[in-house]
Amino acid sequence: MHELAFAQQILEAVESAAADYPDARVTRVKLKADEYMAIEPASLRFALESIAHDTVMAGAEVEIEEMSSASEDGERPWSGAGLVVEEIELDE
Amino acid sequence: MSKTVKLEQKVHAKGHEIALKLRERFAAKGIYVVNLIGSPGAGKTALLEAAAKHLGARGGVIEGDLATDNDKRRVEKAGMRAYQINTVGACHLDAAMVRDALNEFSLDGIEFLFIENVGNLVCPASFDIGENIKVAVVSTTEGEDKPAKYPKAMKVASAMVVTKIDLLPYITCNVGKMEADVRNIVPGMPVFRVSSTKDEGVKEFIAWLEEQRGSTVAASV
Repeated sequence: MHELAFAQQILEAVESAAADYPDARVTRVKLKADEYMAIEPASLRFALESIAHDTVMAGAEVEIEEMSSASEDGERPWSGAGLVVEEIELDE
Repeated sequence: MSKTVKLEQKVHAKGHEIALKLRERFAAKGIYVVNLIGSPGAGKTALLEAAAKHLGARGGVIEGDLATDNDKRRVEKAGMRAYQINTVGACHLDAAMVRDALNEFSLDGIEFLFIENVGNLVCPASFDIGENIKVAVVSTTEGEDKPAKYPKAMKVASAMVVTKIDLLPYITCNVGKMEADVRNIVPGMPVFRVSSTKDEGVKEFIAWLEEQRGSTVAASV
């Protein structure tokens, strides 16, 4: 149920990156999620689809790669290694 | 024409900026903030009642529950000032709820602020609510494999408190396994074995919190 809270921030990141390409449409968004983020891909996709209507991200394919967080991250205690928007693909 | 743009941008759950501001506000007042996460019935409130005996008015509590102000009243009766948030449907507290609570709850005189999250070992682990540390609370009665089953909650925690150790003679629970499992996720994780009702191990937990606060306050000077 925490996926919506992440979806809103993902959309903001994508919108701000896409703002540099005013005539383009986002066709694909690639995310990386730390295994400890407990992100459920289906819930995250549903949350993103629900809020992406009428945005530059509407209809974009969402790719979610789960990565291992075996490495020590310096940001404990208030976050895990995290969720990262890796790249977006635009159709110009 | 298709074009790929690299972002490599870390995304936080909504409320991250509010949490950063809250942390600054707490630090400015020298308040050390502990976000307690654990399943329903893990003994989070009982731990706070026990902590109240040691901290008294130096401790304050923000309680998060879907409904009722039972926990606020319990903690107040034990001797700490408290404020109750009712999340109604939400399964976790977020930073905005804590910020809003502070409009009605004075931090004056408080050195340790405990925020008791909604009973849930999943969602609260994802949210920064302005705390210095998260502490995972797990009871002997809920199954010794909880740390292994909820690795994210353990990963984001800075310590684990195992509650209800006074019940060990009556149940099957290997606390050593709980410790080994949590340290497999976070090497060297401090673990406190506590009986809140018998006031065992609580003093040690509070002493550890005093140490953490001491080094945090020293670092911010």
